[in-house]
Amino acid sequence: MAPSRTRPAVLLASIGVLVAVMSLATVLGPAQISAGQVARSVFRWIPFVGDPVLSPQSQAILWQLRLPRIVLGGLVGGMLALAGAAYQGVFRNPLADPYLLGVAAGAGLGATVAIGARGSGFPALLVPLAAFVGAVIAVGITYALGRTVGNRTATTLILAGVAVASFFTAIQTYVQQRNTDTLREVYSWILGRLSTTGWREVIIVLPYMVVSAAVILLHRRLLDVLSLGDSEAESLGVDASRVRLTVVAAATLGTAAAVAVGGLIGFVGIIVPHAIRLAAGWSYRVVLPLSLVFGAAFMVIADVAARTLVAPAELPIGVVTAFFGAPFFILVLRTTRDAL
Amino acid sequence: MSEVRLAGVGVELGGRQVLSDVDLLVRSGEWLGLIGPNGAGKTTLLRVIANALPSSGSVTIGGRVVATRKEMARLIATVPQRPSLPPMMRVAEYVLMGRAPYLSYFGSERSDDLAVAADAMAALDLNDLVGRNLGELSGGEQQRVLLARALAQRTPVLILDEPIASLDVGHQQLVLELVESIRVSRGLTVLTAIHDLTMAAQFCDRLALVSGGRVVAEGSASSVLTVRTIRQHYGADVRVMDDGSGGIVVIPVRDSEVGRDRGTIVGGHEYSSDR
Repeated sequence: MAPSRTRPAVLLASIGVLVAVMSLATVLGPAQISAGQVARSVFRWIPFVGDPVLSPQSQAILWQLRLPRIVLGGLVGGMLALAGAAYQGVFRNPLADPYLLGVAAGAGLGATVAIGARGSGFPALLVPLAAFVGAVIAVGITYALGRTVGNRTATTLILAGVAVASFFTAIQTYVQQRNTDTLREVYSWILGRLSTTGWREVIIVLPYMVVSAAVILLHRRLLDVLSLGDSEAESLGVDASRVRLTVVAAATLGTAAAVAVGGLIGFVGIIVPHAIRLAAGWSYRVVLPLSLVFGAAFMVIADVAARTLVAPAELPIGVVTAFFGAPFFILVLRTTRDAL
Repeated sequence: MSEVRLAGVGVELGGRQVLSDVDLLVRSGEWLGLIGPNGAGKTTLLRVIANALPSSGSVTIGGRVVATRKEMARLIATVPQRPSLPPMMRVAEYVLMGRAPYLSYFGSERSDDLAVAADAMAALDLNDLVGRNLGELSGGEQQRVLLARALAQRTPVLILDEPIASLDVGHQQLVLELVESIRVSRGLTVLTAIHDLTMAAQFCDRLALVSGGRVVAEGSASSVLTVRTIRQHYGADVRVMDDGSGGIVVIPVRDSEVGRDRGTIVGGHEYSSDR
């Protein structure tokens, strides 16, 4: 009997769902652009299919606003769901999310400092970079602390993460109090938002996410072995600490990139992997690839809701994911007590 | 050759000497039972042998010091005392994990790995359970699944830490018979930490009594299991009897009974207390 794996048909169907969701998202928005117009514009390089039927303005809305944002939403959602599933695997903890080891607090501090420093000439473009650096530093400190405390177990790391997150949050709150004029902007960043300036953000985060996702996906079998616990994994010849370090490093890199361009979008990293487990089984060979695809689809849908529900204003996307995510999560908890 | 040899092994944990100066030889193809009171160091000793704990002294498997975790996992399969059995994992997937020592870091199982796992499941009569979830199994079924995973590791040495601790007498017997049958059919060297002295005497070729971090007695069941030794190291009063067919039976005796007329023993005769 073969091990669990994502059947090609299931993976193809899932990707089909994602493509459908993304296509739908291109035609939804305050500016009316039909599906036919989108298709013609996308395939305009094919002779006889693509007529330039869109006005230059619609063309710009489609190519410089909607599509980059949809793609960015997909990347951020897929990355957060994949990183969440990976964290749940290495920590054997169903409530682990990508922010567990201090990514959120570190990124929050980085962004707050950068936003606050704008008055003194710090370029706004570098806010994502500051968030990224803050996130990586926070997790780095967590890992270093977890190692020095002794036995390097998952619990030690989680506790170190709690301490580091509290410390960074304290500093962030202090910095924020000192710069009350940027309070609103910091608050909006913390609630999560996907705003793009053309394809720039996509291009910036793509390399990190590709590397991160590839490394995590390559560890899918080893994450299954780790589900037996460190000592049993090691009795099977698997270096549990090394697997954990590698997967956490990859997940942190991808999460930091996602947070840098999307702010702190909650719940995706928990609910998507659990929904996949409920529907498709426990094995990380299934949970990881499907979390990537459905995390992307979930975020694209959430972003459509965020930009259309109260148009022309926008809801913070973190509010949308939590508003739909929290009740769904409770439902998952009620129905999958045994599976977690 | 898969003999396990320990020479001058010591372990210190948190400033406490848990094992001291342990010399032990488990011959190839032999079943050695580690007995001893709670906290004596049996599990620690098993972990040292499997290279899961750093120690002083030397441990060799088949005459060699094993350096890497992966090499060790190809020589020794361990069934822990409290194994982790993810409830949603299927039996076949769990048994297949036994092939992990043979896979490269990013590799996945090939058809020969599936064949080895299938063979292990067949050997433990698990064919009807392959698609079941671990959470649905009874205690006896779980023990068979654990043994199947160990068997799928294709190691010459099998370590079992308290394999019958939570089982009823029927399942205890069944599990130990299974261990015996795979030991014989596959020529395994088996080490078992075991509390039940009668079962240990019935199934193991030799016993080693661990107490206070040292091996204090070693040899055949009849030489190790004496009333005096058991009283000294377990603080228990027992009767040690011949079961009539060459085996040994250890029966606890309540304090009030000690020294009383012990009556007639049916189906056997009393062993000399001080052998």
